[in-house]
Amino acid sequence: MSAKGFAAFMGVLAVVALLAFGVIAKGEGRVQPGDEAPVESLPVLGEEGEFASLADYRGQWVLANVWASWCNPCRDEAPALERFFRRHGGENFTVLGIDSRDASDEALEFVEEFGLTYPSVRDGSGDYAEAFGATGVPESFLIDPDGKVAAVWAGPVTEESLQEQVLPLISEAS
Amino acid sequence: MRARLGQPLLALLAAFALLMASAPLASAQDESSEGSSAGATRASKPKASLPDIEDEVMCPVCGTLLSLAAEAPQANDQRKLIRRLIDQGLTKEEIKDRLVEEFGPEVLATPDTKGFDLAAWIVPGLAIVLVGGAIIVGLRRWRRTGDGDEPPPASKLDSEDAKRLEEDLARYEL
Repeated sequence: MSAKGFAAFMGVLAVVALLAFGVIAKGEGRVQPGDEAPVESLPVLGEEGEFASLADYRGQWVLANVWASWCNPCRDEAPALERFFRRHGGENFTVLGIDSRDASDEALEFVEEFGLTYPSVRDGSGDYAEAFGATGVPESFLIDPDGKVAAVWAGPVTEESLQEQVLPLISEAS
Repeated sequence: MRARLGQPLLALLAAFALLMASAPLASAQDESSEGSSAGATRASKPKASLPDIEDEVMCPVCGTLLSLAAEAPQANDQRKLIRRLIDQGLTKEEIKDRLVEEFGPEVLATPDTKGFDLAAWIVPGLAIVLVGGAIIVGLRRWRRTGDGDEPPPASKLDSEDAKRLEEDLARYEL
C-alpha cells in the first residue's frame, strides 16, 4: 500500500472510530437493578448552603425521583409521592427529589404548590440525572440501604405502583 | 512698510488658522470625553435584552439555542427567569452567570476560552488553515503539471498534401 493510500485508510479508520465511540457513549443506558447508584453531593433545593447526597442515606431505602417544574407528568405524580412519603417516610425510607434542568424559583413554586415535604436536590445541568441514565422526566429509582438500585420507573409513578412495588420491599426490610 | 504690515498680518492669519484648527479638535475632545463618560456609564450597565441573551444561551432540555426552542415548557421557564433578571437590572453578563449557576456551564452557547473548551475555538481555525494550505499546494502542483504539458507535435505534411493546402489557400483572399 502506498503512503497516500495508508494515510487515507488511517483517516477513514479515525472517522469510523469516532462515530463508534459516539454511538457507544450515547448507548450507556439507564442504571439497572443491582447496579451501584451514582452518588454526588448536590445543593438542597431551598436550603442555601446545604448539600445532600445519596451517601447520606445509607442504611435506608431511598426513592430517588427525577423531576422538573415544567414537566406535566411530574405534576401528576407529585401528590402520590408526597402521600406515600407522609405515610411511610421515616428512618427506614425516604423520598429524595432530584430537580433536574429546572430554574430554582420555578422549582420552589412547584414544591410549595404541591406541599412537598420530602427533600430535593438541585441538578440544574441534568448531569446527575444523566448519571442514572435518565432520558427524561419523571423517572424514579428505588435505592436499597446498601446504595444499590432495586427498581426503576421510567415515567410517572402512581399510588398503585408505589403500593405494589415499593411498599413490599421497604416493609420486608423493616 | 509692506514688510512691516505683512508680518503682523501673517502672524494674525497664522493665529486665526491655529484657532480654527484647534476649535474642532477641542470640540471633538469634549465630545469624546462626554462620549467616553457616557460610554463608561453604558459599559458599566449595558441594557440586557431577551433576544440578545436568547441567542447566546442554550435550552438544556431542547439541546438547541434558546431562541430556537419555540414553545418548549422548559424554554419558557428559562425565558421567564431571564425576563425576571432583566427586570432586576442585571447586565447581560450577570444574567449569563446566573444561568450558569442554575443550569451549569453547558447553558452557554459559546464554549469557554480555557481548558478543553479552547479546542472548540482552535480546531475550526486550524482546519481552515490546513484546508487552505492543501488547496494552495494542490493548485501549485496542478499549475506546475499544466506548465509541463506541451502541445502534441503537429504531424508534418507530406509534399503532396502541402501542395494541395497551398492551392486551397490560394483560392481564398485572406
